[in-house]
Amino acid sequence: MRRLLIFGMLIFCFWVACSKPSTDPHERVKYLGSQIRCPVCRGVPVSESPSTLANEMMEVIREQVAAGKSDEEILKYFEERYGEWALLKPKPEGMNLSLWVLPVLMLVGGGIVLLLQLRKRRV
Amino acid sequence: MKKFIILLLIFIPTIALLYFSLQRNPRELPSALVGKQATPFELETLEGGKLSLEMAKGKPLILNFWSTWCGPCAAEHALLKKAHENLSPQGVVFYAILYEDTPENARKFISRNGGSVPILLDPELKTSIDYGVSGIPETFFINGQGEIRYKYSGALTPGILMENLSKILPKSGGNF
Repeated sequence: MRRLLIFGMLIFCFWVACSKPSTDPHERVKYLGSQIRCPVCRGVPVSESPSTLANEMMEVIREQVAAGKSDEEILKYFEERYGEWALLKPKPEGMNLSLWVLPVLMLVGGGIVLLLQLRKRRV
Repeated sequence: MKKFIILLLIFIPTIALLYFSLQRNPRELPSALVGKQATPFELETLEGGKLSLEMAKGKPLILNFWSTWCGPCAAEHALLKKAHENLSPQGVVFYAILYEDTPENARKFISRNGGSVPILLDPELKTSIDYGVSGIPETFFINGQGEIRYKYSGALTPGILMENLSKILPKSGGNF
């Protein structure tokens, strides 16, 4: 039990360390570039697109990071110009919430159906 | 009965989705910028001068993003040329921002096709990104107060130009 607890704590610390936003400007540019959709490609982030527009968008991100803007401010800049479509990770609000809620609901619903079927078989 | 209900549950949302999708005009891409203040810019012109949003303040502005390699841009060129000739005496300002293209190509294009709309250069695409441009041609209709009233993606037609011009013109209107 104790070993399991230590293992759990290690996993938690690792998760916290991984989810902590990077302060390294280069890493931030890379991260932000991976969050913004290339407007002239198909489902590719600007960080992965070879197009001129995507390269210039990466340059805008670099400039804004250097100017001391926060990640939220930079993402908002692109969202205000290209719409929410530009964000590869939709914001969890309004209709978008269904993207987060539906899989959980389906998992729970599926589990209940499975349990009911198993009970039926036992009886 | 159960199967019928399941089929209905699949069929009805699919038809509804198709119905609403087909009703939308694919050229009418909703722009996040409509209703907002246009972002200021100052760009070099093809002739070496400078033009800015500030210089068009108080006048209706038609801001067109174009390129010589873009077919629909060439298709709308004659219309923009004519509209500029007829509407600029009435106070309407036209700017054509060159997108992902070279000044040499633009000069050749103008010498072949004519036209007097001022061409602005945006070599680092900063203004294009500020205006959320993703595909050209794109045309912004900006009123005298600097508010973006409409954005059109695709080649302009006389009907679309006039319809959206009325959104940015002072009450007296305009003809060409």
